[in-house]
Formats: sequence, C-alpha cells, structure tokens
Amino acid sequence: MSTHLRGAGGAPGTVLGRAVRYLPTPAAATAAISDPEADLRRFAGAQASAAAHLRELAEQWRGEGRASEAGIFDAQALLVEDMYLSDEVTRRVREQHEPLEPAIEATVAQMRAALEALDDPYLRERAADMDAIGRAILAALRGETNPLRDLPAGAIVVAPDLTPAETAGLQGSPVAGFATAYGGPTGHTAILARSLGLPAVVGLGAAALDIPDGTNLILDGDGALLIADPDMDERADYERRIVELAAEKERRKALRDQPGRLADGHPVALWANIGRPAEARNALEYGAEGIGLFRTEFLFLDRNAPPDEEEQFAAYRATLETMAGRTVVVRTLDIGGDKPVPYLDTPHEANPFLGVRGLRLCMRRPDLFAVQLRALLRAAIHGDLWIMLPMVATPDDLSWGRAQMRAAAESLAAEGTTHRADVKLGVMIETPAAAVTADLLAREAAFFSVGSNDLTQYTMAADRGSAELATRYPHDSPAVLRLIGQAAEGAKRAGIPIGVCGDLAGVPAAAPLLAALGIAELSMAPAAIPVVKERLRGITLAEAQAAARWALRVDTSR
Amino acid sequence: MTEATLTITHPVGLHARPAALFYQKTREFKSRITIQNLSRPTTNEAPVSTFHLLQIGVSQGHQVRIRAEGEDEQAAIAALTKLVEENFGET
Repeated sequence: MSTHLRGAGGAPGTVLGRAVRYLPTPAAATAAISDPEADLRRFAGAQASAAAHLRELAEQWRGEGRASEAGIFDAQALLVEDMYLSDEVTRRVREQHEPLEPAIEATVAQMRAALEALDDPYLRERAADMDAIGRAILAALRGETNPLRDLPAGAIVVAPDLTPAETAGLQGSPVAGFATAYGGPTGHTAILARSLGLPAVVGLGAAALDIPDGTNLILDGDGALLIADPDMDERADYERRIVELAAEKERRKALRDQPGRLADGHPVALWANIGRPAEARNALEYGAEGIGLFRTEFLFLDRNAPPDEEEQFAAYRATLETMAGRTVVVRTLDIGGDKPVPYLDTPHEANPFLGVRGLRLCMRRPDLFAVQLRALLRAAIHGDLWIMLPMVATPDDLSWGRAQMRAAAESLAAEGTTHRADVKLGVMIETPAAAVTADLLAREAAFFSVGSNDLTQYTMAADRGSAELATRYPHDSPAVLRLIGQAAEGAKRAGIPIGVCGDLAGVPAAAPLLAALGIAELSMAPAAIPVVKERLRGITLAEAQAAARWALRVDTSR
Repeated sequence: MTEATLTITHPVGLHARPAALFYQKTREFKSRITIQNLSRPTTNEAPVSTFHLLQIGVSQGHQVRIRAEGEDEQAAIAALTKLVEENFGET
C-alpha cells in the first residue's frame, strides 16, 4: 500500500530509489569527566575547522561560477566564528558548567530565536542558517568529515533537513536525490539542490521521518511528491515517465544546434534574454542563436556611483566575445522612479511607469548616457552589437538617441580611440505610440524589438504587476497582437527586422502566432528555447497564419 | 573613548559584504569596538560581531554610532569611518 507525501517544493527531476535515513546525532548530554578549559579549546578548534571547510566550499562554488550560492557558505563561515557565539558558549561552559555540546546547541537556538523574533524576511533566512552553523560546529567537534559521502547509487537520502554544507557534500555522489521533512522552496537547501541538478523534495512534514531504511521510493522533484512503497502500476508509470523525460532531453540536446524554424523551413531565430555577461554562456548551452535583450541595469543598480566607461566596456566586450559573432542586442539604461538609484536623483513620481524612465531619464542625464554609448561603440568592434533604445514614443525620441550616438562616435574619433561608428540603432516597441507610428520610426530605426510586457501594460491600461488584472488582460489579447502586427507591417515595408523580447516570445503557444505576424526573432529566457523550438518545428507557416487570424479576430469572410 | 556617528549609504546596508568588511576591519585593532543603530531605537549597543550586526539590521540610510575604547581607539574610529565613507571599496 503506497504512501503519497506532498512537499512544499524541491528541485526538478524524477527518480526511483531506496530510502537511506539520515538523522543527525543529538548532542552528547553529559560528559563523564569534563574539563571546561579543554572543552573550550576543542570548541575553538572545531569553530576554526568548520569555518575553514565552509570557506573552502565557498571558493569551490565561486570557482564554478556560482557566486550567489558561494555567498551562502561565506555568510555561514562568518557566523561560525561569531564573537557573540564564542562568548556565550564560553560563558555557559565556564560559568554555568554546562557540557560543551548542549552549550553549543543552546547558544545556537538562542541566536536563532533572536533573529526569528525580528520579523524581517532576510533575517529569517539567517535564522535558518543558525541550525546549519550549529551542525557544522558539532560535526567538526566529532571529527565527522562528510557523513553523506559513502552512499550507494540509487539512494534517496531522507532527513529532517540538510544544511547547505551537507547538500554541497552530495555533489558528485551517486545518490539519486534527497527528501526532507522541513525546509521551504526558497531555502538554501532547495537552492543548492537546483544548482547541482539533484532531484529533491523539501518540506514533506514529519511523516517523512517514519519511512524505514531501504523503503522503495519514487521522488518527483517537479511535482514535490514522494511516494513510499509504490505499487506495481505506480512504479511502471514512473519508470515510463523517466524514460520519456530522458528521451526528450536527448531530443532537445540534438536540437540545440539546429536553428529555429517552422515545419516548412520558414526561419524564426531563437535568441536569449540575459541580465549579466555570465548568462551568455548559459544561453549558448540552450541553443540561443543570439542575444535579443541584454539588460544593462546590473551595471547601474545596487551601487552608490555610476559605472565608469571601462567597467561597462569590459562587460559588453566579454558578452560579445562569448557570443562569438552572434548578434547581441544591448538595451540602453532602462530605469525609472520605481527603482530609486542614489546617484540618479530620480524624482518621486505618482506614476513612475508613465514618468521619466528609460530614454527619458537619459535625456535628463546625457552625461551618463554618453558614457554608456562610448563604452558600447568601443565594444562593438568585438562582435555584432546592436543598440536598442527603451521607452521610445516618437520619432523625435529616436532622433535624439541617434544624435547622442553620433556625438559619442565623434568624441571617440577625436581621441583616436578604436570604435565602430555605424552600429545598428533600433528601438523597443513597448508604447502604443511606437506601435501605431511604426512606419514613421522604421524610416530611421535599424530594427524593432517588441517589449510585450510593457506594451500589454500600456495598451490594456493594466498594471503589469497586478495578478488580478493579468488574467483578464493577457499578453496575447487581440489588441496587443494587432499592435504587434502593425509594428511588424511597418518593419516589413521599411525592410528592417523585428523581434519580440517580452515574455510572450517564450510562450510556446504564442510563438507560431508571432512568427505568422512577421516576427523574425523570438528572444526569451534561455531555458524556454528548447520547448519553443520544438513547437515551431511542428507547425507550418500557413497553419500559423490561420491561427494568427483567429487570435487577432480578423474577419476572413471579407 | 573615541566615537563617531556615521550614515550608511551602501544600498545593501551593513549586511553581506559590507558587514563582513566592517567586522574584519574591527579585528585589525586592539580596542574594544561597539556599534549602535541609532535609526532602530529598540536595538542595543553591543560589540561588533557578525551576529550583532544582523540583529541591529542597519539598512541604507541608517545612522550608526561606533565607539572604540583602547590604545588604538582613534586609529580604529578613523579607519572605520574611512571604510564607510569610501563605500566599502566601491567607488
């Protein structure tokens, strides 16, 4: 009789395996003969060793390009050696004559409670870290190096929870996955499991801890489901599903280097949206044929002073070099009053989304814009760089941008700095104004890219952040599609390419419609590329056009 | 005893990397160094430690008062002030 347990979240992947229970040893309650000073020396040693191990893990993960996961270990290393923790354990052992291990556990619990009481989501994460820190110190004290190391292939670790260090310890292990009773979908354990590509389910509840060692398990990480003691049919079902998923993965891998196209060969390039240079490599792994949107805000946010030309140049150049000649469309600074930036002096506006944002902000700070343009023109010699202006509503907006680019080129030429002056300059179609006057814009723009998220917001007069309105006013409504169609028509007449870089591009059902409207490139999150590619290959242009006519509610009887 | 009142302007406040740098800087001196978040009156003054910095939750724009007591107290306050004013090495 199988038992189904539902978790709070997990890491994707479906596996069959056998349970291996992992319960941390409770603290040694008493020591027969205890020497407080010797204990405190052992404690100091354990702190140092635990911190060193965590810092090693941080370095290792940073070296693999996983900086934010490395940060988890860095933060924990600091807390392991925290002065308050040391002082409190010392006080308990020396003055209250407590045995060492309970003193450590009690101190850690105290610190955890203090952070939890502060009612701040960031601090709640740190509170969860405290348990991991306690475990790290106790493990070091007992000389346990990696308790999860020698596990057999096909093992599914079942535990109350796993610390980040323990999860990291599973890397390279033959285990099939893990399941925990506690922990949430956004906790460090789940994050690290996803980063490792290890199937997992977290937050199953205390019932998970009743599962005996050796029990047959099915772990469905995507569905956050654990089936204990599956019956024959369930087993057969999942085995089949696993085979199908593996075949699909193989198919996608084979497709990766195939260019995007419809069933009858009509090309639809599949590009990627990225927010940092490091993501370009990932985009290539998913088969991206170019970068349709390189968001540059990462250079400008979370700092006190703007990035200088050299820093920007390095970032743009690195991305172009990674993409090895494939087109990279860089969007110039696109920030508004909703994201306060200390050095930009953004005013308080009642409607920041209708305010001085994007290109308008650059008009207010042409000095910053000039630095970005110079960096871009310098980087442009290293690949196929296109520059895209956000929040364009009129041909005057584009003219202004074009004049700034020309001025930047002239200043570089005057200095004798190597650069490219004739970089393709295009505009985002995200305001209804731009869509309905696309024919005017097309005279001067080298290309268009539809920002469907904002276009939908402005067209439907519905806040893009409102979940309530989103269902009623979706991105693929006839109004939005017709405007995209109008922009595509303007592009076609002028002989310039048009792409879509908003969320709509990555929706498999919408991709054929956009292709039918004349969209030449779809740019999306890298992970969405394989599915969209497969969908496009299954439909001909004629079929897509028929679907588009219906979606636009065009009356074909006339 | 030497003290200073500083405003933290770094976007992440006195957390993560800035907090780590701040704490490491205090370790360079022999003086006992304490910190209080004046912008959160319910928190206490206490010696600088990773945990204490978490507890006092210094966000961007908050004012803190640092105090140092010891043979190198002036150098300590000067160094910490410089670290904060130079925005933790990011310019």
